[in-house]
Amino acid sequence: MSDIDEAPAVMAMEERGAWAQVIATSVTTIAYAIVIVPRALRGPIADVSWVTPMIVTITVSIVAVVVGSIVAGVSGAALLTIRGRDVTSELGKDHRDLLIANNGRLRAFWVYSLLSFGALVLAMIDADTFWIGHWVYATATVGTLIEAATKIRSYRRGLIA
Amino acid sequence: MSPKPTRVTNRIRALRAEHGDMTQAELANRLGVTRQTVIAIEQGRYSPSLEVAFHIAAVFSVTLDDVFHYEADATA
Repeated sequence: MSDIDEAPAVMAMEERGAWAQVIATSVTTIAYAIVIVPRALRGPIADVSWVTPMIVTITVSIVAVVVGSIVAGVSGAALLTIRGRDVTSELGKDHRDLLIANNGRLRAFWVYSLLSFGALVLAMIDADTFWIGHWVYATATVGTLIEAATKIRSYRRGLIA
Repeated sequence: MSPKPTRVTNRIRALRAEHGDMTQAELANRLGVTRQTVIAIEQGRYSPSLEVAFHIAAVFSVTLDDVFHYEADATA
C-alpha cells in the first residue's frame, strides 16, 4: 500500500444504522416467537393473548434501533477521534448515502405493497385478528429486514448512481 | 469476488499521486463527499453523478476522459 492509500474505510453511519435494524428486528422477533408460538400451540388461536407482547416487542425494537444506532455512531466517532482522523469526512453523509437509503426504501416499499394484500385477504375471509395482526407484523418485519439488507449490500458491493 | 456493479473505470488514484500525493480525505473535502465515497468510486463500487465526475476532473485540471473510461466490451 502506497502513502496515498489511507486506512480502509470505516463503516458509514447509515450502514451502522442498518446493522442495528437487522440485529434489533431479528432478536426481538425471535424473542416474540419464543413467547407466542407455545401459546398458539396450546389452545385455540382466538384465546391467545398476543397484543401486549407485540406492543412490547415493537416498542423494544424501535428503542433498540435508536439506541443501537446512537451507540454505534458515538463509539465510531470516538474511535476516529482517538486515531486523529477527520470524523466529518469519515462519518458524514453525502449523495451516495441518500441513493443507498432510497434504494433500500424502494425495495421495502414493494414488500409492504405486495404483502399488505395478504392482510386484506385475511380480513375479507374474516380470519381471526391473531392472523391479521401477525401478517401485518410479518410484513413490517420482512420489509425492515429487506430495506436494511439492501443498504448493507449496497455499501459493501456497490451501487450505480 | 463479486463483479463490480459498473463498467466505468477511473484514474483517480493515479491522478492523486500525480497531484502531490493528494490523500483521499483531501479529495473528499474538495468534492464535498465522504472519504468512503471516494474509496467506493476509486474501487469501481460506485459511479458518481455527472456533476461529481466533472468536479473530480476540475480538481485535477483534466478532462472527464482523462479521469473516467467506459469499458463497453466488458461483458460482450
